[in-house]
Amino acid sequence: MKVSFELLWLIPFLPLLGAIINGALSLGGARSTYGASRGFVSLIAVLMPALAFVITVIAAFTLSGVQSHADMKNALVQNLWEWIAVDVAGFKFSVTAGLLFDKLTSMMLLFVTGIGTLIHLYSVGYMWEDRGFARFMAYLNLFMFSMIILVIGDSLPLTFLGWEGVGMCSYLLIGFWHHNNEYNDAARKAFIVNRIGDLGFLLGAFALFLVMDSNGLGSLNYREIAIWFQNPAHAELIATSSGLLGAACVLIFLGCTGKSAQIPLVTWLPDAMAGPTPVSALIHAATMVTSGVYLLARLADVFVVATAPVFLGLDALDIVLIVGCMTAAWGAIAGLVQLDIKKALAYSTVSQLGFMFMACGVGAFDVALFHVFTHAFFKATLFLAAGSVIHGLHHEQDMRRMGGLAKLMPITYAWFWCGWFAIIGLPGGSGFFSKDLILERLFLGGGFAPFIGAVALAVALLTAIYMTRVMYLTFWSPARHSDEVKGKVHESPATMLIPITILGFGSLVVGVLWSPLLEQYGVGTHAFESYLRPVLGSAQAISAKLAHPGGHSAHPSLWLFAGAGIAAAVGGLLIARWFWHRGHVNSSEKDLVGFAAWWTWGFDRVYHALVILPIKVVAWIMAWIVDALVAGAVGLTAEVARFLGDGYTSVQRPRLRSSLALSAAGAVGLVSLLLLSGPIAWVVGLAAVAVAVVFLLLEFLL
Amino acid sequence: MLLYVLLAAPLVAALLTVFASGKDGESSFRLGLVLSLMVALLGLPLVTCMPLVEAKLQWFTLWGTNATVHLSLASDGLSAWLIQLVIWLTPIAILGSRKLVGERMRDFAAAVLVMEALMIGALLSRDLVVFYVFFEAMLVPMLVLIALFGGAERRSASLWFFLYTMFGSIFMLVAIWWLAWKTGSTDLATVITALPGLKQSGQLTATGECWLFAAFALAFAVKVPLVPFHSWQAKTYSETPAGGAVLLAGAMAKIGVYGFLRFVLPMFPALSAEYAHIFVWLGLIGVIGGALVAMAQDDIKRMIAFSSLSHLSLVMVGIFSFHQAALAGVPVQMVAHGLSVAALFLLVGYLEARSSSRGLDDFGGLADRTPIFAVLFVTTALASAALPGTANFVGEFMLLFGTYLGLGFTVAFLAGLSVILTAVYLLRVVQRWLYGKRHPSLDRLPDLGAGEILAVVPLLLASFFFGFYPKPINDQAVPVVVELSATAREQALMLKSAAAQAKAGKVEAATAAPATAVPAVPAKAAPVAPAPAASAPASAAPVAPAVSAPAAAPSVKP
Repeated sequence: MKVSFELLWLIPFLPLLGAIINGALSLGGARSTYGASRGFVSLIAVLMPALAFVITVIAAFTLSGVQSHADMKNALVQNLWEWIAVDVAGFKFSVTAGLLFDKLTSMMLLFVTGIGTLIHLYSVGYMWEDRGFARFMAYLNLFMFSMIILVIGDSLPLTFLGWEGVGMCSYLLIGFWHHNNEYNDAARKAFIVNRIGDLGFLLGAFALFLVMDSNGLGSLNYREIAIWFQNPAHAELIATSSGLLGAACVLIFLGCTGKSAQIPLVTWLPDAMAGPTPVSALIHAATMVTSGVYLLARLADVFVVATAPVFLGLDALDIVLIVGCMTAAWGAIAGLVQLDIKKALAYSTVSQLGFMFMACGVGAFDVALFHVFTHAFFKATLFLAAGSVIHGLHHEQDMRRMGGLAKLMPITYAWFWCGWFAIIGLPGGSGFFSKDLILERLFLGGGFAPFIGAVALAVALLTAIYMTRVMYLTFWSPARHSDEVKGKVHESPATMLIPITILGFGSLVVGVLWSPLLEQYGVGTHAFESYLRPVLGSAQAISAKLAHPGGHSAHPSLWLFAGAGIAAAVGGLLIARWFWHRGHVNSSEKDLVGFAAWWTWGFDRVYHALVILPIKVVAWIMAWIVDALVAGAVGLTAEVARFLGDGYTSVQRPRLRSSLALSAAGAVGLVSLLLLSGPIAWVVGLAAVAVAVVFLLLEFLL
Repeated sequence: MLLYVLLAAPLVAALLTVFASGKDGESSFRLGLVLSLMVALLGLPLVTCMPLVEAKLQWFTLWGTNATVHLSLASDGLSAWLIQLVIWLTPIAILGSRKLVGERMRDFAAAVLVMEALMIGALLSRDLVVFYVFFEAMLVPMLVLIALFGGAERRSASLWFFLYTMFGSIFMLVAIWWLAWKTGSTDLATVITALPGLKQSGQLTATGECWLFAAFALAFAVKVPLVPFHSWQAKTYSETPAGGAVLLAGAMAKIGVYGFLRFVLPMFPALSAEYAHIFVWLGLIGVIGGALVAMAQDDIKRMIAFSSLSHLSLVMVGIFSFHQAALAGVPVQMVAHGLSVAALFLLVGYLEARSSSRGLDDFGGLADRTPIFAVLFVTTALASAALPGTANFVGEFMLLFGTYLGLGFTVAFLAGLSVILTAVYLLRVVQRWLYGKRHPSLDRLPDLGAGEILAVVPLLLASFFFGFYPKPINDQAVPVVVELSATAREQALMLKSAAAQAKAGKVEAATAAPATAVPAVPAKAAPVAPAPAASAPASAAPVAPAVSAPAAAPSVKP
């Protein structure tokens, strides 16, 4: 049942308004020495997302008030205008600027606007002294607008609008301190790597349209996609175009790997830590990087029926599962060897995102979203507290020069401790519930999922180790501060501590939303799961049936998984304690720096050798050819003109001949490019492979 | 009457500017600006009251034929929107050139206004000879602009530009003359209806038709430009003054695309369909090659030139995919590209007017020094990179969509690489110019003035407006584009189903006798069919219904 709700447009519009106002203020005050009034800028910047949050809450209550048992798919909708529409010569395609607010959107929006508002408040304190305060706030508001569009848009193109919008804001915010060219490089890298994924997104959307268009019902609207793929009458159509459907899913997932920093498009996220810390918390931990998981959940109905093998006998969700597992392990190992506190948290984010994708891979989309939800709380807490540490230590980020902060910054320490408690999965914290659910679903999944589950358990152990290491190096070990900051360490202002407090408290308690413990008190069991069931229920039922065709398998006690999770957490804690409790890093970590470089930059080096360098070389060669051709041609023209003017005698034969030769060579080259087919294509392909190998060798040997 | 008035108005405005303004640049700037704005307001109703056909005026009889040339003007959705581009870019070109041109504004404004009139004429005329006259005459004011206001190498650039484009269209003149001779008319509609008769009566052989097709296609391919005929572009763009480049890249290049839609596809539908794969491949080379070459440029005007090549090649790929979705993206992409490329040229021109340099390494840290310039430049660059919310995205999205549906995954993927590469070269210049350490030599670089800002902001606002609400363009221009290419599309579908049948037959034969015949590459959907098949449709396979799913659905496993 669709219910029109006339206030929906305000949710994205208000942050956009804030962005416009603050952008204008920033530009208007650009010439003055101090800039626009910070009080007014902060008021606008915090108020707009806060109002968006309030409207989201109202909408969520309205949505739960709409009960009709005939159709569980309740949603609030608002169609604003027709965006892209084609209806010519028998081809019909239409995308409206329409907003869709169902249970999934509501869950995402509540934490996006809620946590977003808190981080805006935090930024007021963190960025107050910065000259570009208004510009920063304008970017943050613009980000909120894009992120809200991403989750509230009712079609793939509209989500893509938000998708690229958050990418652009991420670009602007990573490179916010644009005097530093390293930061600019990081920003550019993030944008371009994301664009690679975006191409996958677009092509995947087109392929999806093509699948649905097999009976003339092609659409990119989410509700129409869900209805089409849930329709049992379409089973045969799905079977006939299963290859195309699998390709569509993999392409869309490629888009998700870009936005959510999964292998292979993983490397931009650690570099993105160049941005100010609130940005890392908001964009690169809590909201934007989870949009890949959101998209998979949004298209859950599509992914669960894409069962045809796409690659090496794996179907789309298997690929999601394996990629998630690989990324989780890679990120956890990388997190173990970081010296920069933000980088350590960044790799931790990569790893946790891998957990979410693993859950998606076994069809447990609700569990994945639950981890998105809890992760948003505890990772935002950790980042904000880390930002507080960096602020208190006067922009020191190297953990080798931290330590002893538990006493110096007690409030920050207390909330960082809560985040740590949640992420490593000690019982009671929010991460405990969500991570154990993922482990449970993995072990109960079909096929090779239990093996992945074993790896995931090991990664959970690693998580406890690297997070406890961060705890030791930063808070618990003796102080090793540099001379400049010694004695000047201070606790952060209230605007920073209030958001940390709320989020830190949240990271302790939000786990109960999906906790069997509350059952006996009648609070309602599995509140989170039942909240999302209207959107995800049918897809999850299908995937459960596929995993266990013979009905329900033996269901071991939940306490088994909880016990394994707790064992991993406690084990990791003890191992970390054994290594780092004295805070000795200078000696033992020296070897790690080399390993860290090798491990984390491996991707960068491969890409540099296989993609960037060849493209640069080709671009250079092509530009040279073009220049030579133009030079030759211009020379030719001059010759012709002179010939016409002065007669034959003045023709300089050699120059004319060389010009002609160059032009002819160009023409021949073009023709041979056109004829590239059949055996020639093989030769060229092999040559390309050989060149690639040479580049790779050069990259790693030199 | 409106169309005649619209055609004459810029010419009158040019005369007024020359005779009524004083010698100083300021007065001719004001006059030229006001008059061009009046022309623009005059042309605005074109988008509301259409289609519009004017009474024909008899002009002269073409030498050697009994065909009478009529001044016949008509406007439809496609012409109307391209004319909007022309008439609104003209005042913007004048407004944005104030600093660069200075005291010589009178000559500049006059040339720009004359060029506006000629472009309007080319877009309105429905007579081959009249079109040709306007199409060629456009070169003259452009040449004046380059020769008077161009950069250091303006002499060779203007010569090169003139000779190349002249050479490109001279064959079209011959073809038009031949057509007038055979059909006794130069009216476009009459010629289109007469051509099949000529073929059936044997007056026009298959080879002859190919020559005619090539002559028309060459003229427009040079103008767009399409890949082997692009070498005039970078040089000309980089030596043209910014205001001239606004019109050259923003509007004149679109007339090449327009020529394909208005003349080539309706006149030679069978050949267009048959050789579509050539245009698609040339377009793809342009899309990727243009972007790659743009990455290696240090002169930003040259970079914009190659970027333009890349974007317009994508339009050509879309047109020759013949899919409705791609055709629906063509008008909005033309408008969008006109807006964004004009803004880019203006902004680079502003810097050039201040420091007479435009190299990649000549600036740095401009975000601090000139924040307004920086904001406008970043926004324009992102619009050029087709960020959703700008009109460029709508166009690119539909073009890629149609390319996928019409030509399959591989072609769409190759064309889609521009999505990535465009971001690479645009962000490269953004980073080098705006960010990083400020060059000490630029400490006195003034930020943009009100007039300069006013010239760029409307372009960006229009791009955002059509990015969120492309409906006005789509509703009016898309049906025209689809109708103009309808016959060619039918032919393409016929060829495709014939190829599919041949393939099916081959597979049957292969199963009967163990032969290992590998089917053709699916991207080349139209293998060269024997010419009689095109002229005698009865012998071809039954016309496939206009389904959107291509006959050879791409089953690509990435």
